[in-house]
Amino acid sequence: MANGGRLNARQNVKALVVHALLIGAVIYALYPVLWVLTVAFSRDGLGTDGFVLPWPRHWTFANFAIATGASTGKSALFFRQLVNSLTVSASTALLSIAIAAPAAYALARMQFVGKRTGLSGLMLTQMFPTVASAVPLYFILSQLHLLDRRAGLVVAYSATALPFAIFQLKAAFEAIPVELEEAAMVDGATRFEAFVRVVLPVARPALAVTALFAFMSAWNEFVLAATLMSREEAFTLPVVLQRFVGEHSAAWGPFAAGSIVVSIPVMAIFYIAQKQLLSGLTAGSVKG
Amino acid sequence: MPSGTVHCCEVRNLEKAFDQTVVLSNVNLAMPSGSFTVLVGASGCGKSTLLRTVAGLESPTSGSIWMGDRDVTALPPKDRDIAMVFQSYALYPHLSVRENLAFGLKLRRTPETEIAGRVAEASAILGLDALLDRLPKQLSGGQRQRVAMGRAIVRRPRMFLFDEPLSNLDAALRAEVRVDIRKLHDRMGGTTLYVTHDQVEAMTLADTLCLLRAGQIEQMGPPLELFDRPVSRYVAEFLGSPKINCLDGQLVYTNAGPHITIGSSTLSVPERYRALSPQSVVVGLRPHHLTPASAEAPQFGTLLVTFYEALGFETYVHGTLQGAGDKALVIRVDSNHRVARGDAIAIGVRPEHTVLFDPKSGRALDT
Repeated sequence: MANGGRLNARQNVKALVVHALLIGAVIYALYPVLWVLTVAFSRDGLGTDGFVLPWPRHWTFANFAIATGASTGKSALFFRQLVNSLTVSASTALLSIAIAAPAAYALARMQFVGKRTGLSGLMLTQMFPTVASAVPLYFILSQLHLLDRRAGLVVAYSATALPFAIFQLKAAFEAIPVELEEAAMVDGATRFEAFVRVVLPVARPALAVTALFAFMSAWNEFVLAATLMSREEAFTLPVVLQRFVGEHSAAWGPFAAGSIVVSIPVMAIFYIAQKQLLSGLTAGSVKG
Repeated sequence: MPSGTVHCCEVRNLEKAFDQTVVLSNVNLAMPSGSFTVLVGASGCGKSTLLRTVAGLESPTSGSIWMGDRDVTALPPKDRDIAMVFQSYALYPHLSVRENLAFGLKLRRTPETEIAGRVAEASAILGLDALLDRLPKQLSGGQRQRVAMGRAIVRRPRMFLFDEPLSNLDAALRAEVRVDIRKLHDRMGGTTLYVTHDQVEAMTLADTLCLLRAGQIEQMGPPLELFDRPVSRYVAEFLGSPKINCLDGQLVYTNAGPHITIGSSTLSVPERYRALSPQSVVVGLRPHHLTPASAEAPQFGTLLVTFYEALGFETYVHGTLQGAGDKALVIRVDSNHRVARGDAIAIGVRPEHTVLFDPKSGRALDT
């Protein structure tokens, strides 16, 4: 305890520096968001005359009314587009998990010919930008008569979300002790039953994170949605948003308001699932 | 149950290789119903692989596994009517103790009321009643171990497999659970195959002890037979703590008859070695058989004490055998026998406690 005071002082300085850095990082990350909020709630849009701390001078909700179609009589259409986004994103998450989980399990637990090639192949697909696949996807979906349909987007999104999902789940499954499955198999389970009744429940945090990533990538995706969907009724929200910033005019107010509306579901999911997510993001780092 | 010749489980001519590495070869093992067989050996000797092959978690390269009169070699674990306790316990972390116990019965579509009854019974036997609604992570190591055993006994399998079930417990608990396991075996009446690297567990639990060395059965039989009549120096050195003393000697014949010389020390030859011709031998002498010389244990040499370990109930005395090229030797004396470094103790051994091995092959010379 003799040098306890000095040690404490040094720890205090360290804590101060860490906190200062973190606060700085949070401000850096939130500053643009504050701008979006300001623009969304301001009557005069971008007319903030360049002051450093953005804050609305004349509060209004009009931008939200425009963004959601409430003031233009298009609220039914907006609702439909919202439902499009939700169903496409949720279906993408479900389909990705449904395909990725068994694939990841096989890659984590079994030895088979072509395993390494398959893994490299998956890795390779991650290196191409989405735009590069837009035209081929357009032709494929057109042949399948899936253009302008939500199912088409789900197929395309799941395909792009799969490699990451598989890698994520493979790592999660590898972290589960193989004895758990062996115990289940001795207890009377087939390998499939062991997978469903033991591996999947134990990997639930990782499944939640993976599903959420797939959901978000679909929710935020713009390029493919804009390419594959041409009818207004089939649009997802990112495409709707983009239309406020056209070639000839830029309605920044409604655009910002729309961005906030679009962010709400994702924030809600994060909030609800935060416990699962935290344990999922740190899965494998600590031994249970 | 199987009649005289049909065993609960039988391993026939088993061979197992991973890629080019042969892990088990020529393993034959018959386990009668109700028997407690312990597989023991150094790490890497193949004992766990043998157990896992019996469980069906590994498939043999050749040979077969029989349960009763059924060849189960190709059957998955679930169809072998076995239960297994893993070293890591392998409790399902997402299920409560109750659900862990019931898991196997549920998979087998056992009626709910019977599941409840059997879980209650196992829980009472193992003292788990207060823990039934907890998750594995809320249990201590000893409690987890009991749940793992409970999960095995609720199933009432034909055979219990244990894979080093005590190695994650502290020493005191290990001694306690060791007794519990044997009592449980006698109570349940099942057939048990048990893997351990701990010779105390092996000696105390087994009806039949099977010592594996480099994938082959070195010796199999009742524990005391392996201890007293080892077929090789390897077996003799593996069992017993402190280790058996092995000294290079000569079997010679003089006018006075056969005897063994170790340096300038002389030992008389036990009856069963009298037919051997004069040759170099390795003399095996267990520390607890070496005592201060007496009428029954005539002196054969003098021990110069270099070090001793007083355990309270007995004392291990380390030293060198005078006139034998300073060969290191350990003997056991009563704790009331005062020893000091530098002492010279006249030591003796009863002739029948001497075992002889061939220096080259390491095989015992009386077999």
